This record gives sequence, structure tokens and C-alpha cells, in this order.
Amino acid sequence: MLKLENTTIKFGGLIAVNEVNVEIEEGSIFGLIGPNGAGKTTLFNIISGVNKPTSGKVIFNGKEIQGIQPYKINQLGIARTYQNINLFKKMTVLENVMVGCHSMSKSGFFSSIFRTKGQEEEEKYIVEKSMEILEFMELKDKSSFKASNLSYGEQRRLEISRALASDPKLLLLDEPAAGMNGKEKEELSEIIKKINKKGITVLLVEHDMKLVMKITDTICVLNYGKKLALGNPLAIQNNKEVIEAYLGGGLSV
Amino acid sequence: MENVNTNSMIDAIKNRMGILKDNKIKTIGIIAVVAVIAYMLQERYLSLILCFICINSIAVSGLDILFGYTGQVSFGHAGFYAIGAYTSTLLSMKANVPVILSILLAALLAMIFGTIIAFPASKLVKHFLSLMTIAFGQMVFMFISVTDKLTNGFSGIMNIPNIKVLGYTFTSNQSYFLLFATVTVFVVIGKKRLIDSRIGRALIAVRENPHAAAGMGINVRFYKILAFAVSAFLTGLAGAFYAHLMGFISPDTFTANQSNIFMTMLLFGGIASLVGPVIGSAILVIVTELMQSFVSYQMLIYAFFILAVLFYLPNGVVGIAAKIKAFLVKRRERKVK
Repeated sequence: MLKLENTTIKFGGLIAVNEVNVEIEEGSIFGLIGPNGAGKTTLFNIISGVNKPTSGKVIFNGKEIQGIQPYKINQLGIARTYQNINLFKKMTVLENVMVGCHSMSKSGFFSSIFRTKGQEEEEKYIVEKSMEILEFMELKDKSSFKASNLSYGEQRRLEISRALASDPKLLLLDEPAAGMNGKEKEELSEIIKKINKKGITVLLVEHDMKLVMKITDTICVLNYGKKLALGNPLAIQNNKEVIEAYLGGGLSV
Repeated sequence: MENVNTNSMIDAIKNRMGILKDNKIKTIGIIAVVAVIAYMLQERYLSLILCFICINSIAVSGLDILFGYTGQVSFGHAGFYAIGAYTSTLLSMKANVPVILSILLAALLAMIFGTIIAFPASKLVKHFLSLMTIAFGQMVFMFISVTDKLTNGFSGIMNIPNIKVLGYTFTSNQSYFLLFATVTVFVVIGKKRLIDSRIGRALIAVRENPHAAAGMGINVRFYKILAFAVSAFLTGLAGAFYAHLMGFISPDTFTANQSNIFMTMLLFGGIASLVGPVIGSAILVIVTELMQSFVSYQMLIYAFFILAVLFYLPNGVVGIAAKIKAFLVKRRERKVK
């Protein structure tokens, strides 16, 4: 589904991502791990169009997408969340998700001003769809809250809801469990599995090893921008290089 | 249980959308009220003030779409105001274009200028954007002051024809007020519909967080340019109205001061709201008229208004009204308990 071919990005003299080759299979949950500064978020930014790779390709469903504007990437079917929460704080929870519906709706300027039938129906559909997503993410009873009034874990879930609203085929989650407590993490892993069951491929960057090992099908380990290892959770746990570079001593999961 | 909840939520939202139907009644009501006011205002001077309030409301609503909803600051809206006024004047006087058509063409030209400005402006934020818009306002001001042959320079243009619609010529201030008030109502309704639509949400998303907006499939640059275009259209329209109402224009009306006045009206009335620009325009126009004898201190008075907003009214008069409403609701809830 998504394929990175020799993807490299340099910031001045720093090679943040160095010749990474990865293929993500459709319908899988793919984990991306690595120590701080390994280039995980940069890789995310390359896929979502924020950064343009210096060389190499990003192929999504057979189409080269490197260097395309972020909003077009979203329209192609890749949605993302952010490491530092990037919600529209002054909008309500429902409105946040409704913004997420932007790329799957199409009413224009004049149909909005004259409130044509098509536009009204589309608005109704957007509201219904957004409420469905909020119900799925267990945020429905908070739909009229301001986004900034949600708890931390709820804000993270709202980010995922908003990303889901654009009907993505690939969902990029950048440290969704950061700052969550144990119970919230449990709920989150259930939610990610549920999203995956809907047929959405998930690419997950996460520091919480327990969570990653539990839900992913394949894991890619990055270190200093280079791919260190690729394999299923068990293989990664027993990979000597990975243990040395990242996990330090023994691993007890 | 849950199903009931969903239905009630959807009903609530439907009700919110149902305001539209009420809106039609509201519109008719407002027009009726306006007609009565106009009838009562046999006095020319008072209806002239009402005309100014309407014209400023249209211009400031335009500024609100740009600044309040999309978060792009502009201290150069007098430029669009001037383009609207001068274009309609020159078209109707020198090219004999029917006045109502000249007004539309003038607003469209202002919109085109707004779009052109927006291409570089959409890449700028904060003080860089304000500097650029100030420069734009100054450029238009210099242009209309220097081109003596076309605009008659500082002597201004006199005897600008009145507005004619379907054979009816607007001459009295009362008739102008009726026309402008109707247009203002339509502008406010159009603005509400725009803001409540997918496009309005995109504009607010751009203001709130441009990175996240881009990540959600919103073409940030396009919506920034769209906001500029719509904003310039409305301000240009207001400028054209001003020219035909007054019958006389000169560059003195279109200085940087005018841009600051628009901004003061918007901030004082309340940004990102439907009635804020109207309230702000009304209060500032009335204050300006009351203070006629202190014209040289005009900007000082406006400065006090801005300071009041900065320190005490972050959301303007509308914000205060909302706070009072929230307070009353809370008190009522307490009493119920």
C-alpha cells in the first residue's frame, strides 16, 4: 500500500532519514519505533507531505506522492494525527470532526451562500457522519464541548476522530498514547484495533513498547535515520542490534 | 437509550439549521422595522448617519471575514474602499455606465485587487502581513492623489450621479438608507451562511491552526486568498455606496486613518461575530458624530476605544453581551436548584 524507496532527507549537514526502504501492507498495523531523534516524526512528515525528501520515493497505491502538498495527500486518503496535539481549540468537538470531513465534501462558495438543496443535504450528511465517528470514538456525549475543554486523553481521541472523518485508507498516528495513563492506553489500543478492523491501514509511531508490541503486525526500527530492523514484534524483541541500540539491557514485556 | 440520544442530538442540530426558516421571518421583520425607522426619520441628518452605519457595517463585515474568521490582519482596507468608490464614480461619470452596474463592477475590481494582493499576502503572517497591507493602502492612496487627470487629485470629484434602479432614482437620504439597510441585511445573512458552511469551517480552521488545517485536506492558501477576495468585494461595495451617497469623493477620505477606523469598529464591536461589525459601526459612527466639534482629536478617541478593547473587552461589545447572558443563565440555573 505504502512503499518508501531509498527515502532520504537532509537538513543542512544532518541526515535525518537515511535511505529507508519500507513497505506497509494493506490492512496491517505497522509500528515505527526508535530512540529519540531517530527520524520517526520526520518520516511521518515526509509521508504526509510536510517535508519533501531530498531523494528517494514515496509510493502510495502505485502513485508517487513525495513532495505533494499536505492537503492533497489528505485528499488521496492519508490522514494523520500530531505528536503535539493540533486541534482547532476554539471550535467544538463536533465542528473539529466536521472540518475533518472537508476533503470528502464539495459544496462551493455560491451553493453555501444561496443554501442550495445539495448543500443542505451535504451539511446534514456531514453532521450525521461526524456524530457516528464521535460515537465510535466514545466522544459523542462531549460533542458540544469546546475542544480545549477536553481532557488530554480525550483530545488525543478527538484528533483520531478528526483524521477518520476524511475517510482515510492509511492512518498515521504520531505517539497517540503520549501522556495517557494505563487505562487510557488500554482503551486506545482497543480503538486502534477497531479502526484497523474497519479496513484502515494504520502506521503507528509510539514510545510505549508494551502497546506497540501488543497491537502491531510488523515493526520497523529506526536509529540515526537508518532502518535498523524490520519484522514482527517477536523478531524485533529478540533482535540483538535493536536491543543494543534502543532497548538497552534485557527486555521484559 | 443511546439511540434516543443520537436522535435528540441530530434534532438539536436540525433545529439550529431551522433558524434559516426563521431567518426569512427575521429578515422581513428587520426590513419592516427599518422602513418604520426611515419613515420616522424625516430629518435628513439622522438618516444620513444611519446610511453611514450601514456602509461601515458592510465594509467592516468584509474585514471581519478576513481578520475575524481567517485570522489575516489588514490595515489597508481603505485601499479597497477607495478602489470601490473611485471605480464606480469614474465608470458612471466618464464611461456612462449605469450606476447600479458601475457599483457591481467597482466591487468586482476591488475583489480582483484583493485576490492579487492575497497571492503574496497569503505567505505572510502577523506583523509582516500588517506591513504589507499598510503598504497596499498607502499605494492606493498615493495613486488617487497623484493621478490628477483621472481622479482630479486632492480637489476630488463632485456631482457623482445618484443610484438608479429600474428607473427609480435614489435622491433622499431616507431612500438611500432603505437601500443600504437591505443590502446590509443580505450581507449579514450571506456571511452567516458562509460561516456555517464547509467553507466557513475551513476559514476558521485556517485561523485556528494552519498546519492541522492542511493536514485535514484544506488548501490553506486557497482559503486565505478566498477570504481576501470576499473581504475586498464587500469593502469595495461599501466604498461605491459611499461615493454615490455623498456625491463627492476626495483622497482625504481614504487615508490610513480610514483603515484604522474600520479596524477599531471591528475590534470594538466584536471580531468573528455576525452583529459585532454592525454594533461597532453604529457606536463609532454615532460617537464620531457627537464629537464633531473635536474632529482633530478623532484618532485619540479611537485610540481609547482600542485600549478599552485590549484591556477590558477582548471580544468587544458582543463578548460583553455573551458574558452577561451566560451570567444570567447561571443565576437562573442556581435558582432552579
